[in-house]
This record gives sequence, structure tokens and C-alpha cells, in this order.
Amino acid sequence: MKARTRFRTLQIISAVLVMSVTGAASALDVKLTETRDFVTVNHEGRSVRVERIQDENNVLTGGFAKTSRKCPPFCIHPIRVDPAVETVGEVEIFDFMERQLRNGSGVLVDARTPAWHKRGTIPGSINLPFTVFSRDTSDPELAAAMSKLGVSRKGPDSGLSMNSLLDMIGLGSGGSQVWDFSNAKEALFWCNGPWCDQSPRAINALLKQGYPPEKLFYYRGGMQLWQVLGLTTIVPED
Amino acid sequence: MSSFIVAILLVGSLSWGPLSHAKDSYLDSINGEADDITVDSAVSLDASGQPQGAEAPSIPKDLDIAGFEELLRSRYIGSYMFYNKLSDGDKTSVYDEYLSSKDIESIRKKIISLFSSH
Repeated sequence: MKARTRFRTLQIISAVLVMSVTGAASALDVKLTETRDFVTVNHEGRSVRVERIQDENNVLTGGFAKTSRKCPPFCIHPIRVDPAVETVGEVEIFDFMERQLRNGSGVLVDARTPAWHKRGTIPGSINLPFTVFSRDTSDPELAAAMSKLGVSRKGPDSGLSMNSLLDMIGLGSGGSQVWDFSNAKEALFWCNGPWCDQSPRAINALLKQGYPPEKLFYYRGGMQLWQVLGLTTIVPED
Repeated sequence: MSSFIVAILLVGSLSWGPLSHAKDSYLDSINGEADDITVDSAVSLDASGQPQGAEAPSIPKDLDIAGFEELLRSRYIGSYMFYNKLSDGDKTSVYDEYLSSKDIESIRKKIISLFSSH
């Protein structure tokens, strides 16, 4: 009888062990890519796992299931914002999360207005609304947004060159005389998807300010494609 | 020459300045659209910093019992081994646990508890 109880106990222990081992090793059915189940990204100081919804019957029902919005203003955008700015997809974002966001050399920017951002955002993003980038170069909010991108204001010794004069009357390239882009981060901008003009506006405004185009990236798919693929979205804290 | 530059600056500030602050009708449109938007499956960060429900791999919902058993067999083979040793009544209890919790940890606990109770 004692031996039977001991055998039963042993069976239960082995059951727990086997289940915990196989559970931990079980891969997701709906992976990000063939070789990647998920990526982790830092969001507001916390580690967040970005994965896909595992329910293969899941369908969108929220705002991003909507197919049609009035155009203009919600018109379909070309693949590129600017010939010099690279357009990226989801896999490049996963790489960006694991490299540039992790080592601090890049920023993932939700360029939408706060009303959109607060409904849900891509983990790892900071909210810099596109409106801030078209402000006057003296605007402190623009300076604050620029500093998040690693850009600082130049010293007062720049002088009154022909370029700065042209900038002042709106005929120059913009803020090239105002901003120091030597430590500019790689900035990956996104908004609501191919029908959204918010991140293209932000990128165009930054180009006008003199931001190096090779350090700007455009995720055209935006929240629309992120949602279609069932990728993790989070509601930011207030 | 200097008066010419001043004149250009004045014209520039008068003609371009107000435009940069002009009310953008695009803003009205997008803000109106944002009022109605909902984001599917958006989760809040809990106290531990994890999106709620994201730490444990999520499992499909609303499977029938055959689909549920297939899920166990394909993804949680250890649990499936012990589930298979249960009586039909106990299997139904496990399935009920799945329907109510949709949480693999509580399903595992249920299987273990039923398995060890016999």
C-alpha cells in the first residue's frame, strides 16, 4: 500500500515536471517570422513582449477594421515619403526594437496626435505629434521634441549667414542653421497606416529642419497593418 | 543694403509667419476620426510592467472539445499525456475549465488536480 502511494506521488511529481518542461519549450503557433516567436522591447522603463494574437480565428472589429474614410484628407500614400528616406515594414521594426531601441541609438516615434496615441500604441514608441515639427524654430516644444531625437540647438555664434537669412524668410532649407544634428538618432516614424498623413508630415517637416534623411525611416503600414497582423498594442499610461 | 534685408525680413515674417500658425483643417478631420477609434486587443501595462495576458502565451478561444484536445496535443504535450489518462467526466471538467478561464496555467492545474485525486 505504501509502495503504491509512493509510486503515485512519483507519478504526480513527474507529471508536473514534464508539463512544466514541455510547456516552457512549446513554441507559438503564430510566430512573428519563421525564426522569431516574439521580441521584447522597453516601454516606459518596462519590458514588454511583442507577439501576435494566437487565436487563428481572431478578426478585427475595432476602428482599424474600417475600410473607407473620406479622401481627402485620408488618401492613400505612395510607398516613399521622400526619395532619400527609407520605408520599412514590420520585420525591420522588430530589428529596430532589438538593436537601435535597445542600444539607445534609435527612437520609435508615434507621430499621431495624442487623441490617437492614447487609444493604443506600438510598444517602445514615444509620442511626438507631427504638429510639433512644423512649429517655429524658436518654439520650446519643438526644441523638446528635437532633444528626444538627439538634436540640440546650436550655439549663439552661428552668425547671420545667407542660409540663415533664407531660412528666416522661408526660402531656405529650414533649421539647418539652428539645429545640431551631429548626434541625431535614427528615428522611425509611424502613424495609422497607408491612409495616414501624420508621419509623412512629421518626416517632411524634419527634412525641412535639416534632419539627415538617412537617419529617418517611415513605417507606412502603421497601426493598420500592425493590427491586421495581430501584433501587441498597449494603452499608454497618462 | 541693410534696409533691403530688413524689408525682406519684414515681408517674410508677415507673409510666411501667419501661415505657419494657420489652423490646419487636417487636424480637425483627424481629431474627429480619433473620437470614434478603438484599437483591437490593446492592453494596459499591469504593475509588473507586462501587458495583461501577454506573459503567458495566449490560447485560442471558443474551441470545441476536439479542437481543445488538438491544442493540448500539439502545443502542450505534457499536459496532454496526463489529460489522456483522465476519465471522460474529468476530461469534461478540464474542458469546462478551458471555457471559463482560457488560461493554460489553470488548465494545467486542473489536469494535475484531477489526475492526483484518483
